[in-house]
Amino acid sequence: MSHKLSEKILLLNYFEKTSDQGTGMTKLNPTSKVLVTILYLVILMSFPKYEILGTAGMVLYPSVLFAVEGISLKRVVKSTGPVIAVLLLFGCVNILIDRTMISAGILGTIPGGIASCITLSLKGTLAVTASFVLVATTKIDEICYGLQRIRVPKVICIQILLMFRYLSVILNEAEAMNEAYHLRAPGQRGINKKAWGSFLGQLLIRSLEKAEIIYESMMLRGFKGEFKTGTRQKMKKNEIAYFLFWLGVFLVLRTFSFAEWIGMVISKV
Amino acid sequence: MHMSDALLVPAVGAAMYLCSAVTAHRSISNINLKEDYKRLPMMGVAGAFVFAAQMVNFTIPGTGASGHICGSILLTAILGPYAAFITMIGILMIQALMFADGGILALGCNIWNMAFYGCFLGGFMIWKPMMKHGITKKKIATASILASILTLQLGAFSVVVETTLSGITDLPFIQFAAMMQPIHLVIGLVEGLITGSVLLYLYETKPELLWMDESVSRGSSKKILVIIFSAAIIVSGLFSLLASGNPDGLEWAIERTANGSDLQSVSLFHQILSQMQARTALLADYGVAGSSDQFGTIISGLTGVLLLAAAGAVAGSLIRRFGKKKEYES
Repeated sequence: MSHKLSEKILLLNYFEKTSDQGTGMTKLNPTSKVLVTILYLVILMSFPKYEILGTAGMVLYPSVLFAVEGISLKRVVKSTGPVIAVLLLFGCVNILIDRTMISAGILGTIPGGIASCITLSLKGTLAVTASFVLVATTKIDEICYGLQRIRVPKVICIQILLMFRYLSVILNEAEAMNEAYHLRAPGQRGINKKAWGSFLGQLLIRSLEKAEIIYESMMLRGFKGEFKTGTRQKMKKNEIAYFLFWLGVFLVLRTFSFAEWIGMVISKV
Repeated sequence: MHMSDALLVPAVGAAMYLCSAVTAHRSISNINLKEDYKRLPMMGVAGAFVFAAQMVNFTIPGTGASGHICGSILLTAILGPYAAFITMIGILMIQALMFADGGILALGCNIWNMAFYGCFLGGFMIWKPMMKHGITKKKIATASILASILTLQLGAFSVVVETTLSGITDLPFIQFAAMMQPIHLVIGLVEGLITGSVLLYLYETKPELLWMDESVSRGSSKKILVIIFSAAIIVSGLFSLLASGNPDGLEWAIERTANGSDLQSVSLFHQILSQMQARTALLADYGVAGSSDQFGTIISGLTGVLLLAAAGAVAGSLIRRFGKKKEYES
């Protein structure tokens, strides 16, 4: 499980690095990026369960941004793995139960269960890639700023920032404790039940002691219960245009099966 | 139990977002951070701790498998239900954004399924009453196990309801529930054991860290509400099965006068409204598509009670807010 902890730490570091590159997307107003992501997810999930080609057309958004920003596809594939596994489980149940034949455009007539399984997997993958794109191009404090602009309470945003700040510290601590345990108990899978309480309890006490130190540091710096999160940035014309552009694209993809049209054009050629 | 976006439709996602948002708003107003601002760093670090703890797998004895904790009961026992709920929102948000553990659209559902039941039902219905007359080791262990089992059972059931309402799976409701509940019973038991052992360790080393509700009881009105709500749940969930299947007075009269139990809509306006109703009636005829009449009736009854309770709570809150505003202005 030390591997799991290390992976999470590496992923956090990767996001911090990519969101600080200074490229076009990273400079955009976070509110527009958050809104575009939410819009994308809503429209993606609104596709009916047999709509394979329509759903596939939504790959346009993440693929464009992946290409423009140079985001690592390998990391996305790793992140989507567990999600796809769960969705395939649901999909397999659908394949067994839903045997009605449905028309899937240029794909011909296929069992409904297979169609819904494919659509489910596509939706899951694309949803994960959309959130991946957001965090890879936006720093966490900017995401929180964007969330605040869409009326998420300040307390929750500050809670996320504090948690994110100390996540890597606590994860490193947990990894060190985990490694120390397994060096003393080689070949054992997980933490033995006799050590559950003391292992987590120690980690919790250390975490809360850190919280005390953090609080005292904040008090020494004049903290009186209020967090200042910077001045409001107005959305520039290009940022509004960015949002409207993707809104238009998503609406077109929702109403018109772009992937099917391309398929027909290619087959005619 | 983190739900992916693909398991939901926007309508269900939005509805659960609303429920979670209302609860979050209530929690924020109850924390009173302006007076107790030491809470915020505690919540941040406790959230990071739970996050890290979820990465550590524990051997489940006798199974050869391993599992990890959810953390809502643990946080509730340390921070109290309201602060724990806000902390869980932060955890679930970071998991959804950064680690693809649960979707962004499904965040409302995940908050409800994993945080609401643990923090509020586990906190107010189990932890608080049990610790009312003092904390003991036995009470800690019992409360942890009971609260964890309750949380995971309700959470798993909610996943089934939300997925079924979204029409994602063709698995009938009962079979789906029958698959989810037993697994989560085992998971809940293990989580309860882990949570209990951590809290017992804390009780022995730093008992002052454990949450004890010191607020004075606000009188019997809340008790009455709880009794009425519980009675409504019991009646809608169980006694509704005993309801007569015969047509009510109006339907009986129409059957005898119009030679049929349903009148056909004639005008365009009626047809449009009928079509709208057909689309929005998720629990048509007090049943769930693909499940037996009995369980469909139970679900319809429970859903109706919960929706009414939520509507009542929102209305009461709005009335109180406008009342306060008027008082302030006068």
